Amino acid sequence: MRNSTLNTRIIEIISALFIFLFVYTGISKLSEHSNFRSVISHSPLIRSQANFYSWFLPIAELVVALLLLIPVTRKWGLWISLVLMCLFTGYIAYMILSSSQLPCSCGGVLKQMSWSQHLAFNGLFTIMAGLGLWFYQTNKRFIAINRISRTPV
Amino acid sequence: MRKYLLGMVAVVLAIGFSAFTKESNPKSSTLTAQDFIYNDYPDDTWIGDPAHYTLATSSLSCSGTAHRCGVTAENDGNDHPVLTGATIFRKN
Repeated sequence: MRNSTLNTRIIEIISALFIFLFVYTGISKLSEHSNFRSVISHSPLIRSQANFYSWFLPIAELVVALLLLIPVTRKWGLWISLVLMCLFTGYIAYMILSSSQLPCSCGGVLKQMSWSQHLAFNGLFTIMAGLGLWFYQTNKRFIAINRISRTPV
Repeated sequence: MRKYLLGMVAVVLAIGFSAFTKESNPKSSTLTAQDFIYNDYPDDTWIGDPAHYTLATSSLSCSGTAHRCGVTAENDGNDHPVLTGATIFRKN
């Protein structure tokens, strides 16, 4: 029971950190939408769909934050968070490797980070998303085992 | 309700931080941003003077870190950039 409670707390903390990140960056991107669209229109990878991504990305972040907030949909929120963070990290890695040196199309104060700092930041959050899902699965197994064994803990 | 407590705190903090960030940079607004070319590249002496920028007719093509090439910023009404909160592009 203690393990299950600890796992649940860890999942809640990881989810709260992602909620904070996605709500902050989503709102920042929407509030500076024209600037954000202008910056990604210079990106070699997504410039052809800059208008679409300028709306899709911040809205997706807010939707994922909502999924993480609701306990029933938290698992889906963690999965989508992991996918999003992998995509963002891959994009940053590409920008670094291509040495394009364009300004970061990040939200809020994150745009003050260098590309390398942002890569480390995103990498950390990607690992956290993976950990959140791992704890989620561990918690499910723990509860299932106890249910089967009918042993009070 | 306790299940939502931590998440709601995160939402409130995030909204507060984004409002605070916007407040400390009020010029980063909802008006349309445009591209401006810095006229004196590679001389960075006048990068703080909006009069040394020209409204770009096509997308900026700057790639590098050494000297300012242009900015994406709001138009001040005289086809010069509002440099506060502008996104800076550099070129080698």
